Amino acid sequence: MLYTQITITFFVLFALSRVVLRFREGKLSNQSLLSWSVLWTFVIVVIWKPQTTTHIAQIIGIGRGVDLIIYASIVALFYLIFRIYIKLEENERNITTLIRIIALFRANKPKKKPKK
Amino acid sequence: MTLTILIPAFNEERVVKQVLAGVKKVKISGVKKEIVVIDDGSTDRTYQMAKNSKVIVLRHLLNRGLGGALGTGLEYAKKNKSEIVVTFDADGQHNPEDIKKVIRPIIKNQADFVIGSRLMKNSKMPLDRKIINMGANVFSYLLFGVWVTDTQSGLRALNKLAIAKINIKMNRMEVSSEFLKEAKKSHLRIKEIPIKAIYSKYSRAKGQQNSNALAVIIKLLMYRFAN
Repeated sequence: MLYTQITITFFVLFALSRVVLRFREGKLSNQSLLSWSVLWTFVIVVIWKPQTTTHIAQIIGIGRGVDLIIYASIVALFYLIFRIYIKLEENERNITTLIRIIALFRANKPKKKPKK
Repeated sequence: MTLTILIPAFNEERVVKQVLAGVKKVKISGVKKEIVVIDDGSTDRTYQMAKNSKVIVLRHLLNRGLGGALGTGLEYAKKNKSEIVVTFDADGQHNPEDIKKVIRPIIKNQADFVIGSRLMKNSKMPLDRKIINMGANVFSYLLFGVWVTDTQSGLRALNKLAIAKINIKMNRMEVSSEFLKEAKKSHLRIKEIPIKAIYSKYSRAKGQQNSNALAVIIKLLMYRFAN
């Protein structure tokens, strides 16, 4: 168990370092930095003190801590899929806009007959 | 009065020449007509054939779908200050003479947005299509609050106000419901006019596939909640 905990902790620390790096590059807002930091810190707490989830689960009214993690993960995954979907749609629309601009710029109009 | 007829076409080499010849023949007094084909990234000779028919051709370098093509056509009409726009399918399912019917309420200032409905009078529409269409009507009503008998009709007419207000964002078949959503949002006067559709083996194969219905529903749901 200890090896697993250490491995996951290293992974989480790596993930946290990426978050800080992206924040320093200006690619992440203050709000995103805070939410990602809270999430990864929570993961570390859960890894070393698994009973924490049971306490939180009991407060919310979900029996076991592991159930809470599963429910929360499903909700988070749905949310992420939704975000990705929106991003994809946005990209699709941007491609259409580009294609449209090119089509309008290169509009093929029939040549008028020269006047006699 | 200037009328722009938008014909989105994707791989329609078999019928596009004939459809364009039919549309060209339509004479409407007091109306200056221009035909615009939007070739939606066809991989066959659609572009060449439309060009040879001496109409305006806008060519998409990539296939963007019906919504993408109609959006390009509307943008063209806006830029060229068209007073009336008609959208017309390239698969040969519309009777060109029906163009006169759908623009009549616009000319008489009775409506801003007109739909040529294939289901108002005894329709020869195949049963499976009727069922899918009815589902689309109910679904559009539930999502956008507009009831029409044929949301999926490709024959529509828009006046200057509708051309300015309707902003197409969806790329594919969902565009038919988006027209209604946009019309409702801008409080446009919507009217339906009965038309007769011509169902051939070709137009059935080229039109909306029944299997697309679920994908359209999901897209519309996402669109409704994301906007």
